[in-house]
Formats: sequence, C-alpha cells, structure tokens
Amino acid sequence: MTGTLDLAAQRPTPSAQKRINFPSAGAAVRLIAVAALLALALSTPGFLSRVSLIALANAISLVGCVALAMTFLTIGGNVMSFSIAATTSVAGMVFMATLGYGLPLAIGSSLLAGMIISGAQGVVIGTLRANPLIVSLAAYALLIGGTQLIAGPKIEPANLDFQIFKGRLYGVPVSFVIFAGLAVLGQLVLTFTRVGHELLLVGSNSKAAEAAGIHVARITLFAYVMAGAFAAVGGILVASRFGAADMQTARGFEYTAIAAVLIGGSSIAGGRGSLIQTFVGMATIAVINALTLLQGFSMEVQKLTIGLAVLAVIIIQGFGRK
Amino acid sequence: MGLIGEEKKPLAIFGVVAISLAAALVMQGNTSVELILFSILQYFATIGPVALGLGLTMIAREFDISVGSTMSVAGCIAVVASTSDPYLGAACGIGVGLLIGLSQGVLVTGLGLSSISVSLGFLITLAGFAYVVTGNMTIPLDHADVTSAINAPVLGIFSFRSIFAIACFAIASFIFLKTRAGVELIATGSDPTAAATAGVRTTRIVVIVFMISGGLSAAAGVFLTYGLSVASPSGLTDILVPAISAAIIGGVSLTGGRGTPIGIALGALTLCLLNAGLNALGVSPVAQQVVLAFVLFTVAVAAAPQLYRIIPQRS
Repeated sequence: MTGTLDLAAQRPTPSAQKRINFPSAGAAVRLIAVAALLALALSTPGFLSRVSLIALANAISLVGCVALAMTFLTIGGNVMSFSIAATTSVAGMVFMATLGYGLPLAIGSSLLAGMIISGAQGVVIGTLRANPLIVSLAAYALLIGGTQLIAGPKIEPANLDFQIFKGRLYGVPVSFVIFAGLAVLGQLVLTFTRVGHELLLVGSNSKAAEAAGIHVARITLFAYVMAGAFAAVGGILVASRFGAADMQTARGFEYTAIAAVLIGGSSIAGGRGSLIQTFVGMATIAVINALTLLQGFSMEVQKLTIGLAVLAVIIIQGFGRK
Repeated sequence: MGLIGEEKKPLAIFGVVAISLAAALVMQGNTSVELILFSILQYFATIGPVALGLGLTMIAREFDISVGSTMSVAGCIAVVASTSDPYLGAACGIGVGLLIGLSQGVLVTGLGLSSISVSLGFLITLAGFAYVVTGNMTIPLDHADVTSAINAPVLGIFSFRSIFAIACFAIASFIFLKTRAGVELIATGSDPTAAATAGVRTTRIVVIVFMISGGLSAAAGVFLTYGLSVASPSGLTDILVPAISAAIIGGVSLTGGRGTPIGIALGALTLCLLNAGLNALGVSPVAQQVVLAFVLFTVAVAAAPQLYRIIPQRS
C-alpha cells in the first residue's frame, strides 16, 4: 500500500492524476461497478430527466459537504469522526442565530464555530495522541447535549436572507454549486500546497512523517480545522434548506459521509484518497439511492445497499493490500 | 495474574463514586434504597454486557464499534420473529449476533483487515438491515407477559435482565481467571506475533472474542427490546459512549493486552452509580448526557499518550 505513495514522494512534482488513478484490483472492481451502475441508470426510465437530475444534485450537496469534511480526517489517518454531523448542526444553529446581524457575519461566525469545535478535537488528537474515535464520540455526546441545554431544540432565523442558498444558478441548485466548488477548492489545497502533501504523508505513516521532520500535531490540527470549516458550510446549507436549524436534521450524516469517502476509494487506513474521489463516491451513493427509488424499492433497501457497498469496498481494500 | 493488582484503579474510582452517591442519598433523605439499587442494576443490565463484549475485543487489541447496531438489529429481529414464540425470537436475535461476530472475526483475521474498518462497515450495513427488518416502523411486542416477566423485580433489587448481566460477568471472570483462555487473550492483545510464536492460536482467540462481543450485544439488545416491548430501528452510537467509557474506566487499555472482566464490571457499575446519583440530584437527562460526555472525554485524554497504535495500521 505504500508503493503509490513512495512513487509520489520521489517525484519532484507529483500530479493529482497519479494519486487518483492508482492501479489496483480494487480500482478494477470499482470501475466495473461504476459501469454497471451507469448502465442500469441509463436503462431506468426517468433517470435522465431534468427533474430527476436536479433532485439528485439537491440530494447529495448537503451531506456531500460533510463527506468532504470527513475526507480530510480519513486520509490524515484519523479514520472518521462521530461528531462531524453534530458539528454541522451546531454550525447551522450558529448561522441561524446570527442571521439577524447580516449574512456575511452569520456565515463567518458559523464557519468559525465549525473550525473551533473541530479544531479543539484536532488539538487533543494531534498533540496528545488521543484516540480520534473516542474523542469524537465524546464530542458528539457533548454537542448533542450541550446545544440542547444552551440553545434548545430549534433556532428560527431572524430574516429570510438564507433564501440565497436555496436558489438556482443557471438552473443548477446553489447548494450543489457550493458543494462542487468546495470539492475543487479543497482538492487544490491538497494537491498544490505543502500542508496537503504532508497530510497524506502523516496519514500514510505518522511515525515516518514525524521522523522526516513533519510537525504531525500541526498537520492534524490543519485537517480538523479544514473539516470543521467544510462541515460548517454543510450546516449553513442544511439550515437554509429547511428554514430553521436543529440537531436532528443532520443526524446520521456522519455515516453517509464516511460511506461516500470509502466508496470513493479513499483508504480507511489513511494516506491515500482525495476530495474528488469523495465527490464521486457521493454521486455514486446518490445514483444508488435514485435507482432503488425509481425501481420501486423502499428507503430501507437504500440504506442496506449503501451499507453493503461500504462493506464490499472495505473487503476489496483488504484484498488489494494482500 | 494479580486479581487485585489489575483492578486497583477501577476499584478506587468505583469506591469514590459509590461513597459520593451514598452521601448524596443520605443528604437528600432518600430512603428507597431498594428502588435505587434496582434502577442501578437495570441500567447495568443494558450497558454491562455490551461493555463486556467491547472490552474483551479491546483487550485482544481489536475494536468492535458495531455493538450498537448489533444490539438494535438483534432486538428488531427478535421482535419480528417472536410472533408465535418469544423464545424463538430471542434465539434468532442472539443467533444473528453470534453470526455477526463470527463474520467480523473471520474478516479481521482472514484478510488482515483492521477491526475498526470491518466493524464500521458492519455498523452501517446492520443499521440499514434493522430498517429493512422492521420496514422502518416501530414494531410492538405481542407478549405482554414476557415484558412484565423480564422487568419484574427478583429479590427486591434484581430482575431477569440484571441477573443475566451479572451471570455474564461471573462466567467471563471464571473463564478469564481459571482457564488458559484468559492468559491467551492477554497474550494475543499484548503482542500477537509473540503470542502466535508461543503457540497461542491468536486467530481463534480473536474470532471467539468477536463472537462473544456480537452475542452479548445481541442478548442485551433482545432483552432490552423485550423489556421495552417495542422494537425500533434507530439507535447506533448512543450505547457506544457508556460502553467505551465503562471499559476504559474499568482498566482496559486501548493498546490491548490489559483489562479484566471484573474491571469492566466495576467500570460499568461506576457509570450506573453516576447515573443514579445524577438522577437523585434531579439532573435532567440532557445534562446527564453532557456529564457522561465529559467523563468519556476525560478518560480519552487520560489514556491519550499511548493510544495511537489502535488506529488501523496493520500493514
């Protein structure tokens, strides 16, 4: 599994292409799966209609931002965060609570809230080497309980400025434009900055990275702050879509998010993956959902199908490493 | 294997919490000791078996995060399969739990996968499966007699559920202390390669530990569901917080190879006492959740410096 990364490290300018299209058994299986899915999609009546595609775009953009956020943590070697969806909800509540002071301030404070909540966990995990799963689990319980105590079950906005996020841009939902923009922006950071490269190295082997002089704690903090900011954007979109913010709407997003990360092909052990892959993974989940729905299956079957897909990907990753 | 040595810290924590609880109750002038002990044991019956299963996987240097999903899926299956016979339902639920554990153990050992990834995949799949089994509905249990029998007090402070939980810990402690299995489990968790070289069948240990974890979570889920008399497909992480806290407070090390069933029992009981104390003080359930979160957070930080190795880096 280190082969690809060693290669990338030896090249003076590793291109994003190299990191995304690594050849492996898993990649081949994934290619076949995607082809089969596409064939099924194209042969399902009604799938390519404008309404259906817009519904698809709408469906993935909210949880998609959370999935992008999760990607920073997964590829950085921290597996996943149980608290990322709660962070999303809290950021949404902050957004709605501060909307009365103007849209820019509301967006700013929401992003800040997300970055602080996630960054605080990043400090504990990066500096103290605390277990990321357990810290995020504690943060999850803390956020769910804490917001209930401080803010109550629901926050209604002071005005309707959030409507801007519910609109369309040339027919495309604004939320989808933001989601796609975030994916590209985040990927540019990962591909073309030093911290981006170092994050992948830390995720691949934190001890080696440390020995190579990389400040692991600082890089981990960077990943968590980025995740917090991305999750907050998701929170703003969720709150705007529903016209109010609560802790319930985004509940369980963390599972869809990690599913998208893994189905996209990022390694759960860290060190390999990209935001573009997560974008593709999210789109795949949306297509599976739309297909099961159009084929007449219930929502329950969707959940099971996604779960089986994740399990399959994890097992294939295991085979690929053998 | 020092019985008291391993459990000194958990015992001390337990003692402090128990004394504070007693003091709080006396100050309040609360006289219904029997009722309080009963509710403590009822909560112990819910989190105890799950904490034991999860804790044993942690001693073996694995980590089964699917326990919450296993619990809820087993409860759903039991209720759905219990239309004619509640015993059949319970058997189905627990059987599925064992099967889940077996599959996870085989995948982890056979493919050399990290247990976190495998159990994460199972967590998501089983959550979906619970929805399919129940058709996304809350399903009532048709046997009112079963519900009342499971919740009925026995000898004042016990119930069927809590007796089951205590029995699980008693059997686990006996096996752990009196047979080779305990030593082999510790050896597997401390250093799998060395243990295998020394003749310990580590693969078998890990598979069995996962089966115990799946079976115990399923049993806890089935009995809890029977006791509540309804099955609902939601649940997931909420049991993880107390279960992990109990295991770590009970002296289980996140790097594997340390911990005992008695320690885990003390850890779980500590949380139950804390819960009872907060209830007696009239603290709202939401505030209790915050307190529990702080406990887990403290525990995570306290155990921090040495625990990076649990993250999947098997290769």
